Amino acid sequence: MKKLISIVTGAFLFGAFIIIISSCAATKEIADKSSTQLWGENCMRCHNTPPSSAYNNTQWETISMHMKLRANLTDLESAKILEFLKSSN
Amino acid sequence: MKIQKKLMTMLSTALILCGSNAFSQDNLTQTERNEITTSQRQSPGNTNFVLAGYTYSGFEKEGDGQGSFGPAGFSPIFLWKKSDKLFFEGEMEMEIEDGEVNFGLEYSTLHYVLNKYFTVSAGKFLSPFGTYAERLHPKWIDKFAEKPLGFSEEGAMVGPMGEFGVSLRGGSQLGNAKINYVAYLSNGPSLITDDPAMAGQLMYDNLADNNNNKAIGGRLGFLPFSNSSLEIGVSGQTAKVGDKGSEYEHTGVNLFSGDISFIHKVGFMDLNIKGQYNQVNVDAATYKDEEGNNLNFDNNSKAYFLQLALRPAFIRNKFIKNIELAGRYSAMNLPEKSLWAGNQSQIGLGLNYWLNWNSVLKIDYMIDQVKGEEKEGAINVQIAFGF
Ligand code: HEC
Repeated sequence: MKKLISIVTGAFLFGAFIIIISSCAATKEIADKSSTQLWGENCMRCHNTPPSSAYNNTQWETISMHMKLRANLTDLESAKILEFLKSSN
Repeated sequence: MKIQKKLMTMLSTALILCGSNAFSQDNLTQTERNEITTSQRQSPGNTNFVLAGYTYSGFEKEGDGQGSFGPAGFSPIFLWKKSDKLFFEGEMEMEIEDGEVNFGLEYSTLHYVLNKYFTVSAGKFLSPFGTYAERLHPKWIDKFAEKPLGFSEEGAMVGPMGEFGVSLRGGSQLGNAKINYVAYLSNGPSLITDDPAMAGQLMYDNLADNNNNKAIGGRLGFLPFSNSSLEIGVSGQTAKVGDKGSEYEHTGVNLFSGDISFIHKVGFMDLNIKGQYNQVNVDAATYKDEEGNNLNFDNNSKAYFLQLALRPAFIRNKFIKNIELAGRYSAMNLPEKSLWAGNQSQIGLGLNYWLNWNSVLKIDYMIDQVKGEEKEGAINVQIAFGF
């Protein structure tokens, strides 16, 4: 019973959390960031930044999704970084 | 007889048809053939597959020991992007260590992207308990050849490296800051009770569950600066760990972890700080020692590391800019009353040379100190390639 209550409370808090985050859009400063800047800021947090020439476009499509999930990147930054990688390799 | 004849005719017709087909293929001009290969190259198809992974090899020498080549390993990673919503990642692990070859399934995870904010995943996955397992342990990423104390399967482990279950994860902007989140249900750790030398310790390879209870866990990461340079994370997990039907059935554990990551350009250098603190609190329980006497204690264990790396990445000289200096302090405190008790600390000094962005040669000097014993030095040399 105790466990059920904690699961329900957890689910409720999680729901509230989803509503809060989804109402929180990126500020103009963030939305204006270039794809190159986002690549430079994010792709070196865990390992050295891979040069865009390291993979072809098809490979980048897959790797971007891998990294989006691994690093929990936001949808916008991940899409912009992919665009940069594909246009500069 | 008639049937046989018919079959023969069918077979020979088929052969002639195949042959003429091959013949017509052969009749293609070189230009036509080039066109076909180019168009194949240009159309990647909908299912994208990438074979990634890493490999490493090395040499280690502890104290006055004789030194030995190893460990060495090869971990292929299979990535399948089936669509914008469906993704699979799987890693096989093969390692030669202490004269043995170990095979393992490091992870095998199916992901389904629900929306911009959430992805639901199922399977075996690296534990999002802290960041070491999920983000830092691959040998081409780790600044040191060896894992920190308490994070390695070789010694007592304080915290999980993998989970088997389901999870929900994502990331979002929060004004100029960012957050990321993972919540999961997994089989959870199990308590060792029958082996006196290890009684009270947790086993984290939760491939099959030992009870009805599922572990609940999660991590919340916060990146306060708009340039994403700092991330602070907290993780927790709670579970029942005893075997179903045993006297330990109701014994539970609460795990807590805090982690930090900071990267910053200091003059011509890249500064990289990583750290994680793990704490495990198992409820008090009574175990038996070798003579059958009662051993009552609550397994409260801690393990942590703080790592700092400096690389003169903004210098012109190609040789110097690839050198990196790393330092790591790690420590592990195990419950005093247990038969596997002990406080241990380790200082690591590392000289790394980056051959390219994901290939590194590491030379480490490690100083180990077990409480009440003499310090012992070790040298590890490792070369690691990501691919
Ligand atoms: C939160 C940490 C983190 C961040 C941020 C990150 N990566 Fe990774 N990356 C990893 C880890 C961990 C691996 C190794 C995966 C494994 O071994 O399971 C990896 C592997 C890779 C690989 C090797 C192929 C693969 O998919 O395994 C490439 C290429 C890569 N990352 C590119 C990027 C790019 C581009 C970015 C910026 C968008 C990025 N990474 C950001 C953690 C991160």
